[in-house]
Amino acid sequence: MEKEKIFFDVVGLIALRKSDFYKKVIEEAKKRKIKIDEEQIKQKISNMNNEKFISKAEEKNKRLDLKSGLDSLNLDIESFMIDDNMNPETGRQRK
Amino acid sequence: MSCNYRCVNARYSTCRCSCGGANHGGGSVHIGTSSHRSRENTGNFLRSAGIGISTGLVVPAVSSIFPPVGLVYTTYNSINFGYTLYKHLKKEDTHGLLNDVSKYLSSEVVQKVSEPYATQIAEKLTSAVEVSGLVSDLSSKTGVGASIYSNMFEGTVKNALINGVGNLAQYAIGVAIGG
Repeated sequence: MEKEKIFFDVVGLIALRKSDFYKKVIEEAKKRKIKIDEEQIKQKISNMNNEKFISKAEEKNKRLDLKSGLDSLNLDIESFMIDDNMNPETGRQRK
Repeated sequence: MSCNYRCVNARYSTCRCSCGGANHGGGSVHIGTSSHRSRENTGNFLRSAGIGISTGLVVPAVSSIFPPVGLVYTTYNSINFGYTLYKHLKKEDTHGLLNDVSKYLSSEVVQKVSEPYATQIAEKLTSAVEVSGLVSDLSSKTGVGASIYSNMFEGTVKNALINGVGNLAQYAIGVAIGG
């Protein structure tokens, strides 16, 4: 029981944090008006190596920020842009 | 300084205690590999860490790695999250899945589960968690979509099984105690 409890404590909390991180990615993409494949990102974050996920949080002063998270996922949200003429920084059409 | 769990689970190459490196990082000093060696044997880890390291430390430990964030933390930090999960899963465990997880956790040598079997276990555990109502409760209290949490839980369990279930708990505690 003791070891099982540790296991579920850890996987449960990591799953919570992965959920938080997923929400953060989606919100950031919406803020920057970047079209993304939400299902693909969800799968990538869900299947992300747990130890790597924790390590990234440690490296960034115990905060899993968006950039390091995306780096560790090897994921560039700009690459999900559908409209090539859109400026990812402003969300506006390039002239 | 006497040898203790900090030495056994050390992630640094220099040993400063009485064992002279014999137990350091899981048995010997190898720059760059000690962290992996320290995780090789779950049974030894839990025994060496036994005094003073209880499961009660794990939630604060993981919470310290991931600092408080909004409602998720305030809702679940104060309750026994792992125990709640385990209790529900045990109630729904008609396929002996928890026995399988226990088997991998209890093994002296960290065992890794094949991907198809890990997927099967993770899917069934996730279904049991959904049936328990824990996910919908979590969703209503935190605003995290139920399907999102289910998906993340499934992937996290699957990943933990594929990489050796004992490794994850050891790693989380090791990080928290600063080994």
